[in-house]
Amino acid sequence: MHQSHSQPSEALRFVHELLRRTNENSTGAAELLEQDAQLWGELKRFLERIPAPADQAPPCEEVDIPTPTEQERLRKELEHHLKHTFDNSTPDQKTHLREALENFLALFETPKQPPPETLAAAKLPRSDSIVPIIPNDAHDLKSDSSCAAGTIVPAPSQPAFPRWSVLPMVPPTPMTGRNNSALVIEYNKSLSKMFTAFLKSDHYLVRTAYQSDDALRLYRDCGPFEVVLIDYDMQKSIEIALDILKQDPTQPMIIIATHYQSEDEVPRRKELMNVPFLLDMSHLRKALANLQPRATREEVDRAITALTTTELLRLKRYGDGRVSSSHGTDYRTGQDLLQEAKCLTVEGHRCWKKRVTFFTHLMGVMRSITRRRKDDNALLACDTFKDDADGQEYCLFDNVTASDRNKFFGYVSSEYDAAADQRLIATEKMNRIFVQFMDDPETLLVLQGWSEGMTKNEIMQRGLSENQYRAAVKRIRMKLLTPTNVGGGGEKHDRQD
Amino acid sequence: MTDRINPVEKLERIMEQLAESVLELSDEALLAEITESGSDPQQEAELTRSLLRHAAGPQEVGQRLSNVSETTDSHYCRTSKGLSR
Repeated sequence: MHQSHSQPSEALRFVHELLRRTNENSTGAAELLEQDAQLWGELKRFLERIPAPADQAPPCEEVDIPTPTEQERLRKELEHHLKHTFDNSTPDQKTHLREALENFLALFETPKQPPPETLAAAKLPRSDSIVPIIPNDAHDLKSDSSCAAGTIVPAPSQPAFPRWSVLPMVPPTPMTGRNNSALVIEYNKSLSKMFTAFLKSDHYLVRTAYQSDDALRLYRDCGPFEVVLIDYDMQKSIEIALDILKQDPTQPMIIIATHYQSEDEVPRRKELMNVPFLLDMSHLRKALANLQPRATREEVDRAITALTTTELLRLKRYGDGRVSSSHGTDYRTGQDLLQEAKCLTVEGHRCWKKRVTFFTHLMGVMRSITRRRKDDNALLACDTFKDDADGQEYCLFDNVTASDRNKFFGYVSSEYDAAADQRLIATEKMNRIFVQFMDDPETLLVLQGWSEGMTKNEIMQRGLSENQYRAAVKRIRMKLLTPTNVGGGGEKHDRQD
Repeated sequence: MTDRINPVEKLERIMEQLAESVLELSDEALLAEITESGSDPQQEAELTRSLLRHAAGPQEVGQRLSNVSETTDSHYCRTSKGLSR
């Protein structure tokens, strides 16, 4: 007799590995499960009768992928279990079972190969007419008192097993380029592992909790998550949900209540009215997508393609303007800024909420990036060394001591202030800009007004008409944002020492 | 005194207003300005699109910057006589 019965929980691990492969790799698996949902239901019910040892399922764990050697051993164990079921079935049941199990096991051995053409023949009889039988020698499988050894067990009258197969098998690439995080709160270890496998295949880093205390502790320590899945049937499920929402009211959450036919049947508290209740597991991926309206990488690529000529030009010019005063290690061109905005979006640091256009999103990110950076960047030699009118190199700080600088800028403290250098450089840049418009009083008026934070109307009240103001602004743009002048007041930053 | 205390902020304001002024331009005016500056709008737009498609990550940008430029500690400046505080 096989020793495999002494470790039935490993058979469970095998099936979860199978499920993982199914979700990840195999179109054939998708079709098989779609056509053979009943088979999967039978297997699930069979396997649910195999109790997992306590030490096999710690309160919080992630699914470990068995090594190839372990997988082979587990495959043999499960094969034994299933064949035993087969041996105790009626002739008709045997016919169907044989085909179904052969296909099922063949699928595991070659998960990426196309499904057999005879899949249709692999369908099982109705689940109420064929049931798994616990082997007589499977002593450790008898923990369920309703499952007397060697007897036929009526199929439980539970809803059909979720049709995982109807879910799309190619998950979208996560925007972050890294795993999202999910917390699965599910008391049923088998279901918990299936949720885990599904979420992992969808690029989630999954944490699991089987009890309310563990769930709350995990959430407190590791939250927030991209999504929290809670089984409605779990004890204190509603209290857990409310407690999590109390900690973070914005926490995306899905409550799974597959035993209900409609949402109206599910008793729920008013605090949970905005939380989606999932009644059909085939809608899990859609529910996840609805929770996270952030764009996928593919959508960003499409949005870039869809940007119009003027949008692209505006983005570039806007970026040039935003960084034209940058210097030191913070120096960048408008192109750098634009690229950084895109990268931050793709990496998930800046979420593109699709209710705004991609153009508007990029504008906002560029604005945000440049506002965030102030005086905390180190200086570069090219910022401090300049040429005088005779072409002689000099340092802005040559004849200025720290105390002089502090005095110049009005610092009370005699301590050196690093920002003083930044201010000196800014003053020099400002001077260079103003010098370019020495013969243009209208433009100087606009620049002066801008530097003082005045609005367009306030500047115009100083004696400029609308047209004069527009023309002056255009002249500033043409001088400071033309390709040869971008980079800080009409000077290029390509200088190297 | 205010004039002397906030040159960095003043410069930021100027450049911010300059950037924002781009958003107030009509499409026609934007295209006309770019043409007037000697650039080909279509070419510049496609170059920008290409840059966006092949954007380098912030880490790469930072690495590139650190490779390109010599950093001066902001507490010091380099003179012909060496570092001085």
